[in-house]
Amino acid sequence: MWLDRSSSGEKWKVRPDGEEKVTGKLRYLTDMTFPDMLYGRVLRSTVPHARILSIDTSVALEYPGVIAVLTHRDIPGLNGFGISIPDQPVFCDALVRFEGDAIAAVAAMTEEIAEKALSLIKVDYEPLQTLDTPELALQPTAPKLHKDGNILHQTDYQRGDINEGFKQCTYVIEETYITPRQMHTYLETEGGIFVPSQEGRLTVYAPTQHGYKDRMQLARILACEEEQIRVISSPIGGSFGGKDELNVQPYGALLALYCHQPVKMHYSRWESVKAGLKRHPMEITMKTGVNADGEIIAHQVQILSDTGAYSTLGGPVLNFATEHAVGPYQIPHVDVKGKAVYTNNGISGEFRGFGGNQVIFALEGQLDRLAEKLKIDPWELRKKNLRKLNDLGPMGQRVVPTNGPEQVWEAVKHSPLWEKKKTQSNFSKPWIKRGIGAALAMHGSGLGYGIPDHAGGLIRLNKEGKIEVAFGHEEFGQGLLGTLEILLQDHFCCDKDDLSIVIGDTDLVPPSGSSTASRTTNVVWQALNRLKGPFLEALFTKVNELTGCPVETLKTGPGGIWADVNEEEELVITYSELGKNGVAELECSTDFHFPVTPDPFTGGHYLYTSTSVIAEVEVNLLTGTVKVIRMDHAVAAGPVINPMGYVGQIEGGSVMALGFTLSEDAMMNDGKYVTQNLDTYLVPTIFDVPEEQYVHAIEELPDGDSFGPRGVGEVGSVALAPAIVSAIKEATGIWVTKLPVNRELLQKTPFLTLWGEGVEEGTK
Amino acid sequence: MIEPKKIWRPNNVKDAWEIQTNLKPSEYCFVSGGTWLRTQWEADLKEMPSNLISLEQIHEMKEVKESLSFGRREISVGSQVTLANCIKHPLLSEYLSPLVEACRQIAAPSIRNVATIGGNIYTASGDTIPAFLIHNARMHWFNGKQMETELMEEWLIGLQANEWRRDQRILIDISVEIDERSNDDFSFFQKVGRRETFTASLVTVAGKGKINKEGTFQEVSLAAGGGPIPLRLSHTESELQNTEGSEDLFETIFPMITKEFNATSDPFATSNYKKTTVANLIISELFEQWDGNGGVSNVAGS
Amino acid sequence: MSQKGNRIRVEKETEYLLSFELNGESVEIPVDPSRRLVDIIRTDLDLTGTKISCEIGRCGACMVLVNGKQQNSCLTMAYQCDGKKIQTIEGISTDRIDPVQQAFLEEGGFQCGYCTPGMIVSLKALLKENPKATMEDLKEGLSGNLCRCTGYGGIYRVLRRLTDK
Repeated sequence: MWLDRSSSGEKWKVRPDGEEKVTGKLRYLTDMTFPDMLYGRVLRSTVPHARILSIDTSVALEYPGVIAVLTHRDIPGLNGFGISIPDQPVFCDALVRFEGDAIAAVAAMTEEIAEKALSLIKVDYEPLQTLDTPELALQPTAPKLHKDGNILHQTDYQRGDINEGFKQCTYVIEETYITPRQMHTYLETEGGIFVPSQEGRLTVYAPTQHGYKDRMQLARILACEEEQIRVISSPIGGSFGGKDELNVQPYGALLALYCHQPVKMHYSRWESVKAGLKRHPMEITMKTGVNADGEIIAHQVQILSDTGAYSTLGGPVLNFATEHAVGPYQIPHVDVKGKAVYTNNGISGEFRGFGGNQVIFALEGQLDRLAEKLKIDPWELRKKNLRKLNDLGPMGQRVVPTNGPEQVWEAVKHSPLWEKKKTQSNFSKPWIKRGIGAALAMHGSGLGYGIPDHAGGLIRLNKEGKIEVAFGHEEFGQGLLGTLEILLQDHFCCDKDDLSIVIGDTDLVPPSGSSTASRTTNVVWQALNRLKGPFLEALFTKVNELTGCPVETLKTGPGGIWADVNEEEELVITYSELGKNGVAELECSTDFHFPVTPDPFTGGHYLYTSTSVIAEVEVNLLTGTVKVIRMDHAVAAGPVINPMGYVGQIEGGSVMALGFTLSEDAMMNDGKYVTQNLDTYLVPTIFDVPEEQYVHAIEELPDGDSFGPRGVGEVGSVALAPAIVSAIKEATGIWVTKLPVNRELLQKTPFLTLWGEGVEEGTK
Repeated sequence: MIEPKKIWRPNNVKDAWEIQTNLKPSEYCFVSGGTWLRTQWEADLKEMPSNLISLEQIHEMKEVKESLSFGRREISVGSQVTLANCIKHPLLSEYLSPLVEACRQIAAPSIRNVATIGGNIYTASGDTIPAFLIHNARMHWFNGKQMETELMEEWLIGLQANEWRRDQRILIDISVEIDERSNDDFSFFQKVGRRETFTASLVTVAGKGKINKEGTFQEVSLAAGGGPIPLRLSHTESELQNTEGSEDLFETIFPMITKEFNATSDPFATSNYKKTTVANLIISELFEQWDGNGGVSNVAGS
Repeated sequence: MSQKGNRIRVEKETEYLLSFELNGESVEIPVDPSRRLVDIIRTDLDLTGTKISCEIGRCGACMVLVNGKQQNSCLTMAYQCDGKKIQTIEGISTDRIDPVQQAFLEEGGFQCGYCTPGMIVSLKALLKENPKATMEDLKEGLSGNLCRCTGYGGIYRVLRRLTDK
């Protein structure tokens, strides 16, 4: 059944934050202002790699209306940040490693004066060789970008005997796949406002996916106690991983504390492109062999990842890619090696899919090519090699039993494209070709083995008489608030007006870990299951004290606590009366760790979501243009909590993948961005997206599974690229190995090779 | 200090000219809708001068006019006519459909509401240019004393030869002469960008001509954009004149087009891709005229 | 070590007084005549429903209506608004939610919501000009508005609803 408004019934709900979003009343953090506020700006390098000979801020400081100009000399604590390794300087002191590196920051009385002041700061550089590819950075003679050299991280996973494995193969396919530097392109660029208090505390209003992590990183830079900082981080105008790392925060915080005045910062799109994270461009070589029966025997993978100038989460992204390069297939001989390499390019970091998108494109491409060799249906080849319910995970680790890959394998057949694939289309224009392709994937949720993956939450009846929950999670559009409202109403059968949901404020919420890695829905679901019992017990004990009603007759309902009296339900006490009678003991909290595999493979996952995609494309051979006509998805992620949010995540993720496949590439030339704004960096418009796109949600989990809903924040974006590429192959006979698809590769000259190959086919 | 800009809003051409005579070239620029200039200023590709002379108030430059004399129909499009108004204009829809189609494919409705024909042409790479070139469009300028007339094609060639240095003249309107339409007529415009809509073009092609019952091409004009300047493809046009359509003809003109169309590579497409695309698109249009004209083809009729 | 710079009195030095109608009320404000409308709306008048994102008219987040027509406020300068009627998202629904807004709410036409005011403003302009607009007309009207969250799935549901009559 397709998941949509009519099939969802009452669970398809207007979002709690909806009305203020459609009316424009919602104040995003970049919309906020404070009296006496200053404007902050960052001076960025103009060169990708250079020694800094001198920085002169004196002229800028004298300019009327400039209040402060800060450099590396003005940092009280650590001159560095980075979630995993803090190797990115807040301000460069001696060395510039990419064109977005920060040199200085200015606070001024108007935006115009701040802009003018930047132009008055003089920096002398001695340019150094630009290492603009991982290959160049790996040369023995290449200058070292960091103390330990140019390799950020390496992975090496092996099982079986790869050479022995290939000897047993009838067909071996070896291919290199290249993926682009994709930009998150959140519509709200990085920004926020930084407000110091007279008591010396600092309130940071700036989007992030993990408020507590920002607080920790900022305290390290400012050399203060974490409690001195309050991070308010929602609502957010889009993130997709891109605002997980610090961006404006160090500059705004330093300037505000230095000036004792609120400081507002909001990056222009140009600055956001230059300084912001991108998806890791990867070059992936896969050698995969099958026996004559179509069993995959050996799979060898090399991943080269361009992590750019600094690490942020480049290491964990490579771990994720390494794990997902094996996918849902059972293969006896495996050898995966990965390298994440520092270069002088823009920083690559965390982005929806987290390294999975790149390797899944390669892996599914291998399956299609092997099926061609074997002359069997590519979907049947997948079936033959898919994991079964109790099989081990991709790295041989124990995982929560899942038959998700088998479920989505079967479910793809619900799409009308499946039947259509068997028929041939005819077109009046002979240079228009159509094809249909499919792909599947399994995607881990949570941070993985070996990485602290804290979860937790809090519930209380507050003084206003609302059932209040607090989570250290963020709302960046995915629908967390809606999901919480639905879960809470399910648990407590109350009205939505009886609820108060608190997120995104470190002064008010407990640590819940990050809102990343498709983990949030699962965390809040688990937390509420843990909190419900103790909370109801506390609540009913209190009601019993106040009213004498026996605890066992009580239940929560609309407006208050209800009791079964003589087989009739009646309201015993309202939440608001209860709130007035003291709420001290009506609060429960929980702390736990996200479910993790017991087997020690760093980054290895325990919970997985599976997906399959089928897509139809139309290729115009005159121009090489590819248009996606329709795409359908099957997703196995356990029960659907919030159908509008679920469908939205899959649709949104898949169109992001459509851009990744067909038009998006943050091009760099000699360490500088060529595509500097949305006139040249092209995300899909409404005309690039098919009107028909459906999502089939598979809710059934294996018997005994107690882990509930898996996240779907990323999985919609991981399998579309190989499906499109497979469809292009069917339409044109051409295998694409590099994304975004190069039109020149698909273009033909039907009028030259007169009515030859290409034009005649498919028109008969 | 940061000085506010001075805005001049003359309501006739002579006043506009007078204003700039008192300013140095670096101190002013003429502004129509300003959509293109603003993007240049914001991206630091151009510096915003201290004086902006807006042409938006000059009524005579905001009209589409038709004049008829001795059987000749001349249509002139004021430089301040917005792209949105071009799309809506019945006269242009009837007689200059490639121009209307070009306007329709530029940017998005919100920009077309403000952006003008003059601004699009003045960039020397605007997508409307090929649609004008196929009609031998003439540009009418005010030089301070009088009106000057110049073929658009010559203006482009001169601009390229002069390293894109523009003079002080004010573009008033663009005019084309139109023959009465006959049933043999065809015309087309196509654009290829990097996504389906709201994108700069990689190439544009425009064409018009006649094809008679026998499948013979006459008076074909072809133009393409995507090179240093948009161009007419005159050798190809000559080859087509009075020639009967055939698979051989299309095979013959393919290399003529790729040779004649002087494309340049950019970060997003090679010159080879642009040349092939221009040739493919033009021939596909001619092919469809010919094929639709009598079903001569044995392959495309299915 | 940096020292504190000079504070100044920030005054409007311009002699230009912009007068226009904003959401039905007349506004007079001294600004640099080349100041962008988006800055006048967001910064000077603190109406932040109009968003800012690319600043070159390539995303539609700053869309407003000028005399009833879609226009990018980042590409529009103060002098170009002289005497015009400007409508922002704040002027779309004054006392109750507009049917277009209701469709976005019920169909999941937004997620982060940052593109949403621009989307709604664009659709309002289109439907006002052509109440019988087709799916293709409405798509055309939204071709200058980028959404990064929904993949346009929810927006297509909105458009189907608006044309389903």
